[in-house]
Parts: sequence; structure tokens; C-alpha cells
Amino acid sequence: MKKGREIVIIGNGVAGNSAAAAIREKDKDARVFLASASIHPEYSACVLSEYISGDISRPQVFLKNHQDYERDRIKTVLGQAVRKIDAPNNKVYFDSGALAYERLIIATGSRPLLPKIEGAEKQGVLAFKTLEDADRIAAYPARIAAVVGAGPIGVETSIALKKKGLKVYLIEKKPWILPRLFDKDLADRVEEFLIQADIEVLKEAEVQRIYGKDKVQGVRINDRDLECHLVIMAVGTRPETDLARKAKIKIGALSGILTDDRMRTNIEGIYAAGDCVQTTDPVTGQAGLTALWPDARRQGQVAGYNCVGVAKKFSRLLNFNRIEVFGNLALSVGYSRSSLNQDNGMDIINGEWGKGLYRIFLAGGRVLGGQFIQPSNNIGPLVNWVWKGGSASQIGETMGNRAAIKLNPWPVASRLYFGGLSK
Amino acid sequence: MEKLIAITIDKCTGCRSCELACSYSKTGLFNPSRSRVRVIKMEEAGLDLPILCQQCEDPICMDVCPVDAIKRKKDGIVDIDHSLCRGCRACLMVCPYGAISIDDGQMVKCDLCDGNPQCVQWCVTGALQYTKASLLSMSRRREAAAVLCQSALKARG
Repeated sequence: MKKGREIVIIGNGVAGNSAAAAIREKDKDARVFLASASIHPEYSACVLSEYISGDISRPQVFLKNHQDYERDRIKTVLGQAVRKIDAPNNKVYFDSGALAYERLIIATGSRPLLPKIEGAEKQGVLAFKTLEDADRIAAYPARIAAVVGAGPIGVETSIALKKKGLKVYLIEKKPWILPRLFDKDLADRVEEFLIQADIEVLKEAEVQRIYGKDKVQGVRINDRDLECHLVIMAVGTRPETDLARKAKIKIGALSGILTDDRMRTNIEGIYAAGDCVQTTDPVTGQAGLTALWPDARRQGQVAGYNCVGVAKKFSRLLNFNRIEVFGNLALSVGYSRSSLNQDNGMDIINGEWGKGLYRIFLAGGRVLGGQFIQPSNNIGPLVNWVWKGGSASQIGETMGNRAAIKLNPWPVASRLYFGGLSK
Repeated sequence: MEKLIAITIDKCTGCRSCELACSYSKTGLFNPSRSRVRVIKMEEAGLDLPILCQQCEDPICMDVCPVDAIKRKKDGIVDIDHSLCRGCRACLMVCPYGAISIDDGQMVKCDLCDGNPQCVQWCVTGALQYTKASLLSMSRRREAAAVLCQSALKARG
């Protein structure tokens, strides 16, 4: 029997698993090992907040069971952290034992940032990233919670805790919530939805200290004491790059592992994908970190394909983020003024759509991104143009023509191309 | 991808038999609004267009699904697993064709009726055809060649 090449994947998240699936799709002989410090089979990090709120049960967060790995002939090494990557000798080391590899995919994800606040070590101060974190939050006895950081994780956690029946304070340092996803006026609409649901939003607020004996009894914010029993730290994440750094793999300015459009690192045979990497956008030229499910999934796939010699490229980060606030949808895709930190040279289209609002960002005739509150169900073409770096005239035609957006652009375009409509 | 549903716009009369066939086979009701294929009337162009899932090669709906409910089956059909779907609507929003809809609280799309598409069965004009992808591209090429020839001949006078 032919012996397949050995591929080791570090990380059992979406990037690691989509890499494994891509490898298996193209190479039936490869011997694939998937290692993770976590003992769980793959689960969806996106639905953990729904597990906290009780909308779904714990088994429902899992995407795979152990038999699924066996069926795909992926050998798992779960519950054992990789301690070291020995790049010159093509080996990864665990506490006991080692694995040799021909190709290595690093998909170690990210870890939550924990700000240095006085009292942050007290019982009841929790971060939210993994299933274990969700278990802890779901089980923690509290009547009042303070969520620090109003990014997507903070907002979703607030909603989950509110649904669970807690009183919730959502605390944001900046003057508006979801600062990386929305401009102020659109974010304020999202905030209205939160306020309607009786979540107290505190902006331009900084936690000075967390007080209480052993357990949290409250937080001090802008010289005001708020009673609370649970503090969720949701101020952001950092790529998990310790292993890569020690193996002399190049790290970028945003502290993610530097990869090219085939998810290759600077060391031959080592790839990286998911939240731990940083890529450069071909349209804006800006470096960006992966933080979202669809991008991580696609990067994992690209890394997997390239490992087995299929030259697939990662185009660009889609940054597709949807937040549902008690039945109201808010959606952000691509780049915006706030995420690019620039105002100049950007054209902006504002519009209303029934109950909803939208804002589209363009630069040099190309669509950079869009923000939508209560979006129409049919913004698909726009999302795809953002992803492919489409031009403004396409968007103008479509957004100006309600009927067109519901159309299949493919036959229309092909007929126009072949002159079928003008005959 | 072995076979797919090809749309010939010129043959579509807008009778909407496909919508009825689809909704009946999927829901047991003759209710076009619950059909997976929808015929869109373009008044100005004077065209009717049946719109349905294209079973994309690189489907973006599959990427955005947070619970991996959208999968490509062995026969190439991109299918939604309703036991996993959480109804978050992300797939519906990113589909460039608007081919995914909500029916009875679930995300639904064309699944080619597992190889026997009812819309094609009931399309009397042949606007919808269930055909091999390779044959389809050849017929498209012939069509294109015919159109291109026409203008070339015209130019010659």
C-alpha cells in the first residue's frame, strides 16, 4: 500500500476542520493528524451565546462527533497541547511524544484580551471565547451582569444574558457601540434595539475597578458604582501565535502570523489559517486579521488545498458579520470608514429600505463594504461584489433597481453580453 | 457536478407551472410563495425569468453558515440539513441569486428534488431543462456562435 504524506493540523476550530476536509477531498492517501488542547470535537463558536441564553442545548453546539473524524480518517490528538514546533526537523512535540509532518497547518485561533483592571482576578470575572467559558458563564449564579466591551461578542453576550433573565449593563469605551462594524448613526439604531430590550448601554465608560470580597460585587465606572455579580470581558481578541513565534515563523504588525494568498508562512511546508493569521487585502493593500467564521473557514480550505498541491488562493477577508438583536438584524460586510481609519477618497452611498438603512463604502470605483440595519433579504449581490471587489456602477444599477436585485444576474448578464435583449 | 437545471429565457412564457409543481412537491400545497423556484417578470424587458439555486461551485452560503448545515452532497447538490439549521438567515442574505428563502421557519432552497426536479417535469415549454453541465456549456457555445455569426454576417452586408 502506498504510504500517504503526513499532514499535521494544530487547532480543532473551523479553520483546522475545513483544512482537514479540503485535504481529504483531494488526497485520499494523506495521513492527517488534528491536534488540539481542547478535548471537544469541533463545535461552533458562533452559537455559544445561544447556548448561554438557553435557546439551544449543549449538544447542539457541536458540529462533529468523534465518529465523524474516524469516518474521514482524520486521526485526532485531543486534550494534548502542542508544546513546540521543531521546524528544521519537521516535528511537533507534545508533553509526551511527538509527531512528524511533511506539511503543517497552524490554526491555533485567538485568545481573549484581558485588560489589566484592579480586581480582575476576582471570582465572577470571566472571558468568553471557548465552550468551557460558555459553560462557566451559563452556570454562574448572578442576577446582574456587566459586559465590558460592546463589540459583536459583547453585544451577543449581553443579549444572551438578558434572555436568561439577568439585568445587563453593556459598557463601551468608545462613543458608540460596535465601533468596528458600524458608523455612529447606524450603531445608534442597534443600540435602540438593545435599549428596547432593557439592556442598559453605557458609552464612553471605562471600568476603573472591580470590587467585592472574593466574588464580584460591583464595578466602578466613571466614578459611579454599579452593583453586579458577573463581569464578562469582551474587549477583543489576540491571535494565538506563541507556537509560531517560537518556531521563528514571521509575525506581522497586527500580531498575526504573516501569510500569503495561499496561506503559506515564511517557512516552507508550514501553512496557517484562521484567527491566528494576518493577510493583506489585494484591493485596499491593508493588512487585516481574521476574526470571523466565514473567513476562517475559507482560509482553512485554501491552506488544506495548497498542502496537497492544489493551488487555490484566498481572495480577501469578507468580514461578514450579522448580529440579531431580538429579531432585528444588523449586518456589516467588508470595510468601512471606521475599520480602515480613513475618510479621504471614500465615496459613500446612503439609503433607506423599508424599515431599514444602508450605507455603502466605495473607493476608486470599487466597493469596499456596506453596513445594513434591518437589511432586505436580498443583499446577496452586494455582499458578493464586496468580496470580489466589484465596481460602483454595478452596485448603482442594482441598488437603484429593486427588481434587479431579485434577479438571477447570470442569465441576464449573459443575454446582454450576447446581444439577446437588443434584437 | 453531473447535471443541473438550465434556464432558456426565450422559452419561458411566465406560466409559473414550475412554481406550482415545486410548492406542491415540497409542501403539499399549490402556493407559489412557498416555491423554491420563482419566476420574475421583467416588465420593461418583456421577459420572464425563472430563478433558482445554481448549486454554485464555490458557494458563499456554505461559508457563512455558522453551524455547517449547508453541505455539498456526493452528487454535487448543495443541500441544507434542517436538523442543524438554526434559522439565522445568513445564507439567505449572501446568496447573489436570492435563491434561498424561509418556509415555515426553515431555510429552504432548490435541492434538485434529489435528481428528479419537479419544476422541470412540469415545464411545458422547455425553458427549464435538467441536463448535463458539459452538454449545457456546449449548447451555450453554439448559441453564442450563432449570435456572433449573425453580427459578422450583418457587417459583411
